[in-house]
This record gives sequence, structure tokens and C-alpha cells, in this order.
Amino acid sequence: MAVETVRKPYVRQRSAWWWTKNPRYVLFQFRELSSVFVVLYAFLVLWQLWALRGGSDAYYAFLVMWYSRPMMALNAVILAFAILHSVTWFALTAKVPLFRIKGRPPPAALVIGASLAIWVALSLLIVKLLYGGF
Amino acid sequence: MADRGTKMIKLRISRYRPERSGEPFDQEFTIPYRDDMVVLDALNYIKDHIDPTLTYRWSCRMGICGSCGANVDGTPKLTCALYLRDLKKRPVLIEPLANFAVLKDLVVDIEPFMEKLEAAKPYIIRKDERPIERGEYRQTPEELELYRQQSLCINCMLCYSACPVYGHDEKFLGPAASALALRYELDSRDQGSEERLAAVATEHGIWQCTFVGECSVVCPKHVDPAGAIQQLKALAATRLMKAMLLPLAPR
Repeated sequence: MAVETVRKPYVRQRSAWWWTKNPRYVLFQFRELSSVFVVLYAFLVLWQLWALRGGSDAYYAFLVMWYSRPMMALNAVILAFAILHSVTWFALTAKVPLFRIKGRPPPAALVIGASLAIWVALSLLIVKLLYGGF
Repeated sequence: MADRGTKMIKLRISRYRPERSGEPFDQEFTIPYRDDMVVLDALNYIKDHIDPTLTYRWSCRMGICGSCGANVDGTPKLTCALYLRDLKKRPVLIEPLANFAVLKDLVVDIEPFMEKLEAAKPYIIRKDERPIERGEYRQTPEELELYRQQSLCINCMLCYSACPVYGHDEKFLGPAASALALRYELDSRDQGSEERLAAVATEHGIWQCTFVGECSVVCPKHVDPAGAIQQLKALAATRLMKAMLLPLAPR
């Protein structure tokens, strides 16, 4: 006699708020969200170039807008997201050992530390080139 | 029953009985407990003394068989390796591993996971098979060390339960199968690198990983599947670049 099966696999629905359940998921979602702000900044730079093309009056008007409080606040938010994205990206570098020291992958702290140090040094160099000495 | 002065603990367990109810429901149990009890001990106590119909998987009780995984207070854990004394919330919430279909109570359908393991070609592929008289393919301790970490996986599926990408799309190859692919990629005896990479470096393979990293956090064996996937990505990308820049070079 054939055995009747009552196998009924139940598929659970994931809540739209799944990412709030764990701080690491929250961090991940913010890192994904950071790309939106990075794109936004790219558009702001394009806007700046467009204003520059429009002559000195147009560029002056742009600068007035650029240094306004809401714009400064937006730039601060963009900077925070850019830093979040960069730092979490550099934290990833240690996951892929590109070379080995005495047959072992280099320690994670060394790889991350060196990457961050090079990043900060290059950023400071760019700031120096743009704005002159400190 | 418990003597006076015995410490009691309340657990809330997700039940699903396909023959009775259409939906999973929670059931609470209050049981006596000692500080040396793990979550699996509590489940066994309930099954032995309160409700013999409670269904869950377990075998070795020592963190090597990989069958007793469940979501405890929302986090995927091996129930044999998690002490009740380390859990702060009451009642302790025990649910089946997330991202898998539930068959009964805490038992999930592992078939999709089995298919993924197979897709990663988790075996040594040889182009030149040696005759058996010539003995085994030998390996130095240093060569073993290269893939030892990825070889420690016990297929407990906690990483799949922790992975939001897999939760979003069941087609994703996922953490453990990818780590297993890297384990064979790094094996000095293997000659099937190209074939295996082609199988895993796909849209629903390693490239779907967005590096949430939670798989490596929950892994009870420190396999670091998130790291393994990034290594595979680097491997696949460098191989592609080499093929484009040096089309005639041996790969």
C-alpha cells in the first residue's frame, strides 16, 4: 500500500525590516546606501562644472549656493557615507591575501592598517595640492 | 517533576505540524535547568518529559556533525554548543534556520543546500590520472595549510541562514558551497581549477555576494566563507585579465 505523504514544506516570508534585527545588517544596508550619496556627489561636481562653463557670474551664484548651510549639511552627510564606504572597503582588503610572508598570509591588521595609512596619506596630498600648505 | 529551589527556564519554540495546522505557531515550555545545559539539552528534555512530538535534528552533541543548527534569539547557532546561561532574553526563542523551507518544527529542507554543494564541484579533478600502483598524490604540510581553513566546514548551514543575499534569492550559490570551491581551488593535487571557477564565477555564483560578512560571523568552525568568496572573486578576475592581456600564455 502506498504511504500517503503529508510533506508540506512551509516557506516563511522575510519581513521588510529584516535588516533592523542585527547591527551588522544595519551597517551593511548603510554601506549599500552610501553608493546613492556617492552618485549624488558626482552629479554635484557635474553641476559645478556646468556653472563654471556659464561664466564668472554663474559660478559665483553656484558658490553662494555651495556654501549655504543646507548644502554644507548635505556635503557633511555625503562625506560621512564616503568615509563609511571607504573604511569598510579597506577592511575587506585583508580578506584577499595577494602575497605571503614565510608561506603565510600577512596579518589582517597589517594589511588594513597599511591600506588605511596609504589612503589617508594620498587624501592629504590631494588636499595639499588643492589648497596649498597646512 | 522539579524540586523546590530548582532553577526554571522558559523557552518559546516555533512549531510546524504539516499534518495538523497550515501555519507555524509558537509554543512555550518551562523546564528545570542547570548552568551546564546547552540549548539542545533543553530540547531533549522537552522531547523526553513533556512533548515527544517535538521534532529537531541532532547527532553528535560535540559541534562536528553540523545537524543541530537553529535560530536562537534570531541568530543561527549550533544548539549543542550554546549554553542557556549565555542567553539573556526570556523566554529563549528557538526557530528553524532562516531562509529554508520548514518541514516540521525545527527541521528544515536541506535539499537546496545539497544541490549547491554539488554545483561547486567539491572533488579533486585530475587531467592526468595516475595509475594506482604509483600511489597517492602527495602533499606537503605547507600545501595542506593553504586550504585547511576552508576544509573545516561541517555543512551546518548556519551561514545560509545568516546570509541576506540567499534570503533574497535562493538561486545564490551561497557561503559554504563557495568556501568548498575555494578549498579545492587551493588544493595542490587539483587540476580542475578552470572548470570549477567557470561553475562558480557566475551571476548567481560568487558575483552575487555583496559581502554582508555575517556568514563568517556565525560560522562555528571559523571557515570564513565571506573571505573565501572574495578570494574566489580575485582569482576569477585575475584569470580573466590574464586571458585578455596574454591570450597565448598557459593558464
